[in-house]
Amino acid sequence: MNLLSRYYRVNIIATITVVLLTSIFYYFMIHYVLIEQLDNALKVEEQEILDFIRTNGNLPAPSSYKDQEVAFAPASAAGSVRRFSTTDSYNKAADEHEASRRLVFPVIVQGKTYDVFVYKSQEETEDLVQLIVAITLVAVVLLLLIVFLINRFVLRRLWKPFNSTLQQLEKFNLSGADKLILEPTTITEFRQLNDAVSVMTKQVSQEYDTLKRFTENASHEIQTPLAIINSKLDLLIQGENINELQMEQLQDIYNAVERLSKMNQSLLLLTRIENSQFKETESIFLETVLKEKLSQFDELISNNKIVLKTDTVPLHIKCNRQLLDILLSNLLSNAIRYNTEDGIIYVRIKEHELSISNTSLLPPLDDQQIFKRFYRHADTRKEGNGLGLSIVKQICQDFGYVPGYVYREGRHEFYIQF
Amino acid sequence: MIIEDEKALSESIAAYLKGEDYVCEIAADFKTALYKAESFDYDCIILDITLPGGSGLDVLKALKADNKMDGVLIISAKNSIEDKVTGLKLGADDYLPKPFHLSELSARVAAIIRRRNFSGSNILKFNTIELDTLAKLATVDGRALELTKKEYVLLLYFISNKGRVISKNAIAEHLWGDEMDGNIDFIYTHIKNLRRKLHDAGNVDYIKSVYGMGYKFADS
Repeated sequence: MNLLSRYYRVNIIATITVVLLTSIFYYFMIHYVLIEQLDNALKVEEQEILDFIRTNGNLPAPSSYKDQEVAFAPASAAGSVRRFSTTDSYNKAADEHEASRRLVFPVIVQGKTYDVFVYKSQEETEDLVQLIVAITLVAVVLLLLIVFLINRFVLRRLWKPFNSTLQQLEKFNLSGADKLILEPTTITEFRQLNDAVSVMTKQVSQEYDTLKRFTENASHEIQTPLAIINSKLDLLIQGENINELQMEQLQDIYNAVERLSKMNQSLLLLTRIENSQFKETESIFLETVLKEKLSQFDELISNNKIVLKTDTVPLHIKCNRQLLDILLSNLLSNAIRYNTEDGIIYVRIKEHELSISNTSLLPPLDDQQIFKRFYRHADTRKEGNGLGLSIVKQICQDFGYVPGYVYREGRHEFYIQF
Repeated sequence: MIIEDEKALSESIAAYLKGEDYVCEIAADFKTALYKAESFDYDCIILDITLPGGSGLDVLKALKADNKMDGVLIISAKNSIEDKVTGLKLGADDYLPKPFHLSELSARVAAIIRRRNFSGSNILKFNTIELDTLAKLATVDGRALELTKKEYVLLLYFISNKGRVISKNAIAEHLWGDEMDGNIDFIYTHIKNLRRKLHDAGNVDYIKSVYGMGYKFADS
């Protein structure tokens, strides 16, 4: 829920509650005042009747008008207690039932006690209350409408600088060269926000540049000592007096240097893809590149007695050629390396998907783990630095592809959705 | 000339190349390199890009500005396509990323010198074996030797490093590049086939295994 809707909600709930409570209070107040008025009118009527009796010594004739009725009834010795009440009575003049206010009081005429009933119609009072309720409702609706409009137009315009800053931040790319262009604003809070954002992004960019340079430089610097070790080994093995045991040890050093060098190159590659240093993309016919790659791996595949099965449809993708090469190499060399003798590799290009699957002695892999750096399955005894799939993932991320893994029918399948 | 600021590396290179009867000079910083490159003519310059005092690429630019015909092999710690493209565009003959094997470096230097050589010799000889590096053909006593592409490359590599022990790692990298790892054992198949073909053509066995860690192509 965004800020504005939350604000609308609080605002509208508060408005409705306050207006409703006031209306209820208002209703009862008006009602009370109007009844009081009716009662006063009844008291006036009572006084008139009492005056008539005192002057004439007998009861006035019962009367019935549209809004007032006077009736008499003989009563017991004490007569009724004087009281006001609201009744639903039948008005003979209007020929209808209506809500009335009634005053009952006893009078003694010529020694006999009578109850006097004076009714006054409450109809007008009810009409008035209804009118008031209607006006109140209209006022509430109007108020809500106005609040809504204010929120919609004024608030939206007020928040515009904020939204613009937010958009800029969303588009902000550390490795991109473009700077933030923040909309100037007169609102203090937003100006503070913009200032803070500018300072922060500038700092982050600087830190990032430093880090980027450091990672690249470190990887480059490692290459030179490795070159020295390699060259010294190349000279050492020329010596005449080296025995077999020493040669074995030298071989181990060679292998270690090679591994270190490859790992270093992989890390450097990862850093460079992360830094989006492979920007040039071209439209590539995947089938052609795949065929080239497969021919490079031909020897490796046949030497391992692996059967290769391909099933492809034409598919054009947008990618960096160098990175696509690396991606295919990594997937294929994994499919060969972890295969069994007389195993199978299936390479498929479907619509928007490339999948490479292979038979293997390894159990199903954890698809949460395999794309992580330096992850290697505990049972594997093959060489590898655990970076191949991380590189695949990083390349996919760079081009918005989705890499994945499934274990199907005894085969490990790696797929990429373009 | 070897332009490289790491003394240990330049000395290794010089020691290996001297075994091939090359005369080597070493320049360890930008100023010396620029002075020597402009004052003398070399068959081949091995050029490191990051030097104290300047960039190796500027040495290359100066050479080209002087219309010098020295062959140039760039050795760089920055293994990137852009770097390679820049170097080659500026007129370098080849690009070899660090770390490398000396046998690889030596083979590339030999190739550059062969190409630069105006006597027109693109024929490489070893006893009765002749390699035509332009036509990529091998002959023994004038008879063509039927070799696969890999076997030809392997033979050329051996002859370029004759009399030297070449590690299996270096051979694997030369044959397959660094893209495919873990297949050092496949070298054996190629060596076996090459050995058989040379033998069938009437040669003695020149390829000697060195304690299973490398091979040496030599006469005796």
